[in-house]
Amino acid sequence: MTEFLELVGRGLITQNLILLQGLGMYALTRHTKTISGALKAGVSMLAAMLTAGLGVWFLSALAIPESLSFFAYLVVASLAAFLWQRLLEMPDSFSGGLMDSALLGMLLLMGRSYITGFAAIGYAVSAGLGYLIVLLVIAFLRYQLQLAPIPKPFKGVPLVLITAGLLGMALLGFKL
Amino acid sequence: MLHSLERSATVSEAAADAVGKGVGFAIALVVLGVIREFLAAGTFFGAVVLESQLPLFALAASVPGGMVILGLLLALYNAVTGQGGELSD
Repeated sequence: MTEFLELVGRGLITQNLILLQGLGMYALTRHTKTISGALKAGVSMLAAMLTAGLGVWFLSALAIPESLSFFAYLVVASLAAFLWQRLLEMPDSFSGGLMDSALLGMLLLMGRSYITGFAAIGYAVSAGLGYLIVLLVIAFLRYQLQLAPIPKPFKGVPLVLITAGLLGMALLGFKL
Repeated sequence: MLHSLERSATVSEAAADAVGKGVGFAIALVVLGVIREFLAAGTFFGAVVLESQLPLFALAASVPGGMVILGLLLALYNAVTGQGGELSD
């Protein structure tokens, strides 16, 4: 149980996909313009990650050689993204879709730390929740900053990156 | 990168677009890397530039530090080129 909780904490905080791994930058800058948009992007990614976690669980039963695991993860991530894009009727483009670096990066992190079996699902859900929470927090901060007197060059992406960087530095404290 | 490339119409346009974006991306990466390396370790492509016990800004080597520096660089770029404001899709 303690190990499982530690795994969940890793996905949520100490290996947070956006803030501490630098993955999913596209969603961070584009999908946080409104809180509802961030919620939609985060929840659909959570669903895709859960599906990908289930896929990894099935994969561990197949005993795939280590040299092929990257391609196996690529297939699992593409299938999970495609499935949810179809179910949620999202556009079939890269910019509107779910196939982003956070999904594939999560699977690769899983593979690197040898998380397989049922633990893969727990890690996938906690990583997805961490992704969702960060998107919501950044969207809320952007909403709050709309009326702030920000210099023109800093408006938009630069301010989002600096905000996310400062949040990430705060989370770095949990890694020690 | 793939996000923006799917808009190109013909093969030659797509190739030119890819080369331009690739070179621009490489330049941005090198600039960001040089700044982060200098701040975090006091070196320039591995050669010691700054002899000191403590690095200037050790967090520059971490992901959040990289994000802050990238944000500041983007703001500088916006200020120099006169662009800025909200992101246009």
